[in-house]
Amino acid sequence: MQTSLRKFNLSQWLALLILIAGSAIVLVPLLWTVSTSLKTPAEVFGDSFFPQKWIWSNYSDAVRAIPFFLFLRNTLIILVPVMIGTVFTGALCAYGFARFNFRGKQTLFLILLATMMLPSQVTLIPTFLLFKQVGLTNSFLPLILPAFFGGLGGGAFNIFLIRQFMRGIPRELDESAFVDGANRWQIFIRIMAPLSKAPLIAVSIFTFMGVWNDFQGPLIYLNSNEKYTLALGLSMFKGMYNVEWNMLMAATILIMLPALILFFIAQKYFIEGISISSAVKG
Amino acid sequence: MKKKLSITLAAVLSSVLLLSACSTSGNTANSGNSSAGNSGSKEKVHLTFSTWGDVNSSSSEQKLADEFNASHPNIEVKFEPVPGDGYATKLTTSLASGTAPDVFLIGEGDFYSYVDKGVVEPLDDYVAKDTSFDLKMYQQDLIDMERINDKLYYLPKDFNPLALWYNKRIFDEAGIAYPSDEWTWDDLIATAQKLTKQEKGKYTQFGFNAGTWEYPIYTYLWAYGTDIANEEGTKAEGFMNSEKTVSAIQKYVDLSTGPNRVSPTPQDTETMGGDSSMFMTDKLAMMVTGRWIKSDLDKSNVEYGSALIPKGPDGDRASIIAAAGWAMNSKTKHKEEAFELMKWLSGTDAQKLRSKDGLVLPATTAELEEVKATEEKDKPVIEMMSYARKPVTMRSANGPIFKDAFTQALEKILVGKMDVKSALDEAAKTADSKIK
Amino acid sequence: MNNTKSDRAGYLFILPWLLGLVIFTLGPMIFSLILSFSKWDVITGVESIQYVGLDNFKAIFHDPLFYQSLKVTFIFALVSVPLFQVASILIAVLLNMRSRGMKFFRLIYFMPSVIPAVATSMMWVMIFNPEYGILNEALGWFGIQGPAWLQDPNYALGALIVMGLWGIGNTIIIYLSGLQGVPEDLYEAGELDGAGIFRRFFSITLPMITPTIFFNLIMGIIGGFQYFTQAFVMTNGGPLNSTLFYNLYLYNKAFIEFDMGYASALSWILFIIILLFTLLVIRSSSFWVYYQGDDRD
Repeated sequence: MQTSLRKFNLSQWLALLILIAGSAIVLVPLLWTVSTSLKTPAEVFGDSFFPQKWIWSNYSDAVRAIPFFLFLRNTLIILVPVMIGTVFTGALCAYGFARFNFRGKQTLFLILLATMMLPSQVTLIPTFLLFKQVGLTNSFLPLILPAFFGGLGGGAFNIFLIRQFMRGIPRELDESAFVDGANRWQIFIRIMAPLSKAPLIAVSIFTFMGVWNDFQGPLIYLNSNEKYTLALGLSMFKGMYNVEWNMLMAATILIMLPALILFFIAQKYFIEGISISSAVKG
Repeated sequence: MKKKLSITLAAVLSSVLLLSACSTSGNTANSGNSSAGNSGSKEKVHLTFSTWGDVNSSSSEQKLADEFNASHPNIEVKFEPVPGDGYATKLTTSLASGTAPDVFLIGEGDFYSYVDKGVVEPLDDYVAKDTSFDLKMYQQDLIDMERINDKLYYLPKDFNPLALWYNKRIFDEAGIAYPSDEWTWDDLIATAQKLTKQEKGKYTQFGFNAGTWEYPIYTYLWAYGTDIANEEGTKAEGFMNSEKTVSAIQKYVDLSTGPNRVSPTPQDTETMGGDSSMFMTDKLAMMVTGRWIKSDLDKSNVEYGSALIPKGPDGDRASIIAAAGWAMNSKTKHKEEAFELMKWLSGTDAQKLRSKDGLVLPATTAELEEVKATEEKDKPVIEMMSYARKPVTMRSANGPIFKDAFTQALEKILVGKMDVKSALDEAAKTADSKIK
Repeated sequence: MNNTKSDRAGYLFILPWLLGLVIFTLGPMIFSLILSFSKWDVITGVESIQYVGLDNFKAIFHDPLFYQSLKVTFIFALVSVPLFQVASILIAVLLNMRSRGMKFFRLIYFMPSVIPAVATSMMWVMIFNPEYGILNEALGWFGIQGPAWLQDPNYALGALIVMGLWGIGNTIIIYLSGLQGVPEDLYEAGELDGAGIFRRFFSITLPMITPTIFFNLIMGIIGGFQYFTQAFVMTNGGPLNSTLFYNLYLYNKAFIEFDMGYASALSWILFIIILLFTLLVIRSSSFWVYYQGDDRD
């Protein structure tokens, strides 16, 4: 399907047109964010879309206004184990649901889905009480531990997503390996996990963003500002009575950038790294 | 299908067991606060206190905590700031789970409900016992605000009286005299009309912001000798829909609706970043708001002044003090020490430290007088304090019922769904039917 | 039909989740179920929980705001779920084209999912302003007098749906990942058969991504019924409760009025509603979801 521009036919031009129109709609708010981040407070809601003078120092001021690097470190302390735990145990459980016919599977799967159906507003306090009983509040552990049990928030989202993809992988692939003497674990490691690269990368991206932007979790579980994360730091620009929009937007962009860079790198593996064939012959 | 059900039930039951195990151990371990300090006579008492906003480590509150620790060898206090967006959620969760700080900050809008639920310790006994501490050092109106049902529950951190703020450049340009202390609301409206400008059918400048925020509306209604509820907060009929209220609200709504409006709509205000942004960009000539606006205005190059909120037709004048007060967790194990901390956080030194850069006003009378004498822009603001009254939300547990009914009515009027009279009649009926 | 050997191993593979369910998830869920039969002024601490039987449910069924929030939420879910799915599939298929520069388009469509809600909501308030906003200005070019959007009770919900459309980046990514499971040789076979782009889409792409559609449909239902953040930040239920979403009402009950028992009862009613819709989709899935890797027996 590699297509270069000169080979474009009418429908492809149409597609391009739709994409460009959509991008314009998507980009305007982003431009607003960028332009606001370079304005003076008085200019933020002025008539001009662009700043009169570009105040790049908003960025350095934003970094200095909060302990940026401390918050970054804290965020990473949570992020790294959560990513590992989520991707690994999420894939494991998904494989279990996708390829085994054990008793009660349908019911357990329905329970998996059901864990997402109760509004988090009412489970927030009971969950906090749970972690309080074991003395884990004001630590990173309540934010990390659940990731090793299928993923954050009960893991339903990740497991369900990967399971859907795995069920779409032709059974001939793992069955032939089974015939060759591989056990279930080896099949998972050597065949199913590598073939599920696309959903695993998608899950990584979502997990990254989930932790990176999580406000509620750190808010509830962390008490001292030496433990705060970037998402909590961001809200500091909404002070007691007023919002410093220009600083808030500068910090927003600084915090957004890693997610964007990650996505840009990940999509290479995400889109171009697939090698599934319908494999009916295999 | 039956098998599935049995598995489900088994799973549910097993976790019920888990939970009951947890909650029994929880009841015994439930201590009421997060401090780990124990009873040994020379053991240090550990206290925590929280505010919203200011996550910065070099804040005044952190400094106060450090100084407190230095001068109180038997108490170790820890400052736990919470991001403003999440303060309500965090405080609710920590109070629910018995992990709340020993001392925390509450906004005046919640003063009543926290007392009503019994989570805030009354302070009168501690004040009476403590000879070194005299409430007289505080501005009396402020202390009145912090009493609920004749008992003192809060000590002042900072506070913001409502006043009238005007944009000098707009007044100068039109050659109109600045608002005077003698102004009535009619004077304000007449001036606002002169200061509203249109270009090509679009408004470029508004005279006054008649928004939907209830505090300025309360002060306006009080000036007209009326309110949305009776003083005790038990009745809406004859107040929310009285003749005086209906005619005053009609006049108020006319300011922001119709072809001759002098005020932005709530949507306009939001679009332009709130009244303060409109004011800073010379799109708004006057507004009634709290003193916190000053820190925004001082950052811009707008030229502004402040004045008393206008009088009503019978010479009545009123204001509200928006305030944040320190509260003691009624479940703290170390009440004496917590009170010691509260005194420190609202004492003269603390007031001086916070008001040093002019961002907040000091709550103590002596320092306040000093500001009044030197700061021309703060003089009317401080004077407004003696006109302060309590909104219904600070007078009664029913407060939110009146407030909600009133805001709903105002919305219906503003979108043109109902006329003023029938909307307020309906609101009075709704409110009275919900009174407990 | 598989042999029993593989059955047992399945439990081992899902063990992390099973443990997590018992340790972290079920307890709080049951706690909230118990709360739904209780009165709890949440800030007074766990000691003050009182059993009140069916009182909360009885009160809910006489609560006009309950019905209002249910109505708002149903309208939103019924409109947004299909709308968002169709739009996401369309864009995902376009973004899946392998041509140079496409990775920049992918990045652009992903961006809205990264921008924190504080920034986007402010932007949308400006876009929707009836007098100054660019939306009504654009409509004006076609001679259309735009409505007052967020301040008009008849349009506020619609405005939020339009806004939601802007944030479908995550759904697009999931469809993109699903599209990677479509074997390329099927396309090649299709191309050789001379199938046009639309035939190929409907006879190859669409059937092959039904597992992803199934996923997004269920997640869309769960998410749609629990819509919260933007309404919380932007309209707070107004004007005239026209955007009083179910979860917003529930949040207000729990964290503003401190009535956690009532809020828990509300949440379990929503739980049942979502469960019923999900079961409906699962039941129907055997007719339209095709798994390449499943036994066909």
